[in-house]
Amino acid sequence: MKFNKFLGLLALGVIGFTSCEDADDNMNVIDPEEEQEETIESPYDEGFLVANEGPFNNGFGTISYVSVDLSVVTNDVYQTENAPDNLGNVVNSIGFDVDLAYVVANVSNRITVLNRKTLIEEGRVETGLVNPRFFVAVNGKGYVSNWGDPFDETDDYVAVINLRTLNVDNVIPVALGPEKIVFNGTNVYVAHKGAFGTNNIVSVINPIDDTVTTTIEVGDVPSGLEFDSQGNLWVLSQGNPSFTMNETAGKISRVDVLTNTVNYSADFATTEHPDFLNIEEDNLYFFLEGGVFVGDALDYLVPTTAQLTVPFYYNMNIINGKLYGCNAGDFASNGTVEVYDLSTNSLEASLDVGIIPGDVYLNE
Amino acid sequence: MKRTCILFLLFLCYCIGNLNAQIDSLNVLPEVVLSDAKLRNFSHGQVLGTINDSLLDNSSTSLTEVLRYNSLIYFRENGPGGVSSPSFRGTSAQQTAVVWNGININSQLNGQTDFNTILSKNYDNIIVRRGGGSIPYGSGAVGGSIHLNNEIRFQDRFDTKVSMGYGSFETAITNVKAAYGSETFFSDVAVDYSQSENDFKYLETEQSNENGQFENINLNTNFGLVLSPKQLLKFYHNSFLGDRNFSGTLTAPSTAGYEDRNSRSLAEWAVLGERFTSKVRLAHVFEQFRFFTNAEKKENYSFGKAIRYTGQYDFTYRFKGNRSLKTVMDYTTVEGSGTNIRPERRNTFVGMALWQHKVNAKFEYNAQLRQDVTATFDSPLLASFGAFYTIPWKKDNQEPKFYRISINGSRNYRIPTFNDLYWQGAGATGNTSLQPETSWQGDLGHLVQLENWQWNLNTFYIRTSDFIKWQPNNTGIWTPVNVDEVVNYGAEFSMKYEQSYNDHDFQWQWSYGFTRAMDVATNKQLIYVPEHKITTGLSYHYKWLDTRYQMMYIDEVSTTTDESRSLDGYTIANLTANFRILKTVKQQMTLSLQAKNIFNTNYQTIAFRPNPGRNFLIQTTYTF
Repeated sequence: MKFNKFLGLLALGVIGFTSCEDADDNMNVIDPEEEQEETIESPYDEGFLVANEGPFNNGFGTISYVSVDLSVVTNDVYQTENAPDNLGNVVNSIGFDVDLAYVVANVSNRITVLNRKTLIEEGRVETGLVNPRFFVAVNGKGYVSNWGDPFDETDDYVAVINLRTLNVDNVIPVALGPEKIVFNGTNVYVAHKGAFGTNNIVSVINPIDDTVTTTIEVGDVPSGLEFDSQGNLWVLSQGNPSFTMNETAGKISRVDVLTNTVNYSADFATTEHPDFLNIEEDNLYFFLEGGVFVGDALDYLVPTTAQLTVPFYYNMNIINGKLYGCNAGDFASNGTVEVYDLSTNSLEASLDVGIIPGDVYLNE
Repeated sequence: MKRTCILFLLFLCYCIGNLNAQIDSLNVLPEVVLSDAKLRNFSHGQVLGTINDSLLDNSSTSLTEVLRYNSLIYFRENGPGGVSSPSFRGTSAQQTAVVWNGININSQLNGQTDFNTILSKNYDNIIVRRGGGSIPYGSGAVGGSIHLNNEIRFQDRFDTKVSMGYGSFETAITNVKAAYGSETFFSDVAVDYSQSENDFKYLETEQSNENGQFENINLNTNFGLVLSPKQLLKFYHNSFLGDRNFSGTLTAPSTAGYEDRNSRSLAEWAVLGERFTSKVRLAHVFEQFRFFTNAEKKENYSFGKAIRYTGQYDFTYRFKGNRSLKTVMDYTTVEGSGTNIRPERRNTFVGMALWQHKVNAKFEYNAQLRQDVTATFDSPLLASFGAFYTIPWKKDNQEPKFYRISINGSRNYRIPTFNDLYWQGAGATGNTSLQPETSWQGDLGHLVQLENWQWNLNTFYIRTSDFIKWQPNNTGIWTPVNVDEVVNYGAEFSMKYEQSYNDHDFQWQWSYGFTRAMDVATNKQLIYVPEHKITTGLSYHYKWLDTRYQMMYIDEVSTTTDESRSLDGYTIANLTANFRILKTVKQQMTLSLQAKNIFNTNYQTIAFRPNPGRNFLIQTTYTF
């Protein structure tokens, strides 16, 4: 991971340098043939992919490509490469495995497998998924959290996909509302945010025999799962919202992955419902009512003052010291991704993307 | 991420004839015949369009279908049989009131009527009233109102009409209507049943409309009793049972199902004096839905229901000199609850006064006031003024010819619904501090009536403040707020030409609507509001034959608020031929053949939701 980040920084630096050069010297002639060849090979290498959910029911989700220097935004790149197909309805998330991207379409019950560099489709998973949410790859298998029928609180599961055949080979029944799913090299962790209801656990799945070995009780409505550099799993729980008539405080918990027990936790105030957990370079970020809060994951104290105040975001991602805020606007028109440099807290760019941008991924 | 559940919620939240002549010819004691006398007496300056029973008989059965081709209302129909919401003069579905025998029946839960839950055949006439009417008809009569009327007539009759039809996509419709009447008693019963597999092929694709089947039953029964020469008792009832599956779209499959259980009952006791009319009305309105994410698993559902009781006293006094004053006091109590609706009760007291003055044969005006009082929110004082002036010319033959100018100005409202106020769950919460949406509007109308021609031109302007909109708050929870300001303006032009030659009757009708509905903040057209709509109909009648050609053009509509995506405009045409195959003194039988979408147009009224191509319906009607 660290190596990847280093590469990313390197790429960023290099691209930044070349674009500066371009800007300085407008007469600089680029060999068109060379340029073309490069774009054909892997046009979406080195940059960012934005997953746009798209309109619910009446349309499809899209992927926007953003160049590393943020100067170029190309929308709906999947259709550009695979026309006239589309990614399906409500693109909830993208999971990656080496050269492949797994695009999860929630309402269409479908995963589209793309080459992450060319975004050319390589296959689909179209059966065995019911309200799929998130994907994580584990040694040739893909684990996908599924809500099942949202009115049935007992049919939720994690689908296990054979990534060679793209068949759902196994189904692991889990508790209500599996959402975020991560892998630390040993176990798969699933946060049970609770679907239409609420839940307060993290399921631990052993990928060797695909069984739930234990569940860890955390705060209500766990929405974020991240590892720090020591391998600890951090879980950010939003707390029950007020409309449940049982409002509870947000909570941040640290899980020791050797014992799978919580060894640190801190409560927020009852009416505080933090979200969008990110950890980078052992800085732990979360979002609370328009504020971006940063703390040290290795010596944690819940920060009380925001480092930065931003608009209401649908999600935020921290990548290489920058904040990518997904601004879905009125949810019925094209959204923007707003990029802040966290070293200066300044707005660096506002990128016009697709309808309801929900996640930004570094593609390298 | 939270998106699915939110939109599921919003889906539940929203998750629907310009023949003008009838009105004036129907001048027999409206209090006796009509369920809703104020519709005629206090609607001056408004445009009324009647869709009469002959047209209703020959259409298939949903109100969406009837109004789509016979009015300038645009329908956002989620596929045939699916949820269908209207846009009237570019307003929202909650700003269109559906009035059943004088009672506003828009859902207490979501504020609108799903026009595919109204089966049109059981009504004697349907009137489209354009423009504001919140004073007589309450919340939602902003863009206009649709009136479903049953007529109770005290005259000798005993007749039965049975109509059966079968059409494409395994569609079956049956309607039975029986009426008995004497000089002192009236009773009728009507049952309407429609059922369809609705599995049409999506044109130009390999897909078809899956999970779209529906089954609807509608029962109407009405009674009237003359207690004494001056006292009448009337009773109206309607029940609707709908079991529908909701089909998916081109990109989103669906397994969803939906059940409607609605009933409305109204009792009225009228005392008719020489100078006054006194009416006591009691109404009970029940609505309940169940939504299934999987129609095969009926044990898992979410539901909502509302029970409403209304007591009303209506006193009209007719002064000398063609002046009358109607005063109405209304007390309504509504109890709502549901899976995601906090159980609450809302009590509302309403007082209204409607003044009408027919100054002379040429000039009439009316003025109206209404105030609602409820603990839930502050209702605005509503006021309205309407007038018309008629300039007759050359009455050389029996046919009157005239020009009439009418004006109307009114303040109207739509109140927050139970969803808006008390929703809880699935990433969203209601807002109990919401206030009603209020609008000011003006309407200027011109009518030219010649021997064979009728021209109508109306221009309107509506400005709505405190428009209720659901949006995420700063913790990402969706909640409604009074936020937007919307301006609608436009023009409606319609004309009608009639010509008879021996036994051949022709009628040509053409109407055009121009509608702008702008979000004041962004200056963009609201989504799903076409700027242009044209309808035209050509009919020819000869003794035993009745044919009609209908055509409709709908302009492009934007489907996103930034106008970045849109649906193409389209033209659809239908052809109907009715043959009278039997006629005796007591019996009549007709055979009706309908071809819909005869040009096989591939069109969408909601994005990614294709509509059927060319399809057919055959119907027989036997009256005895």
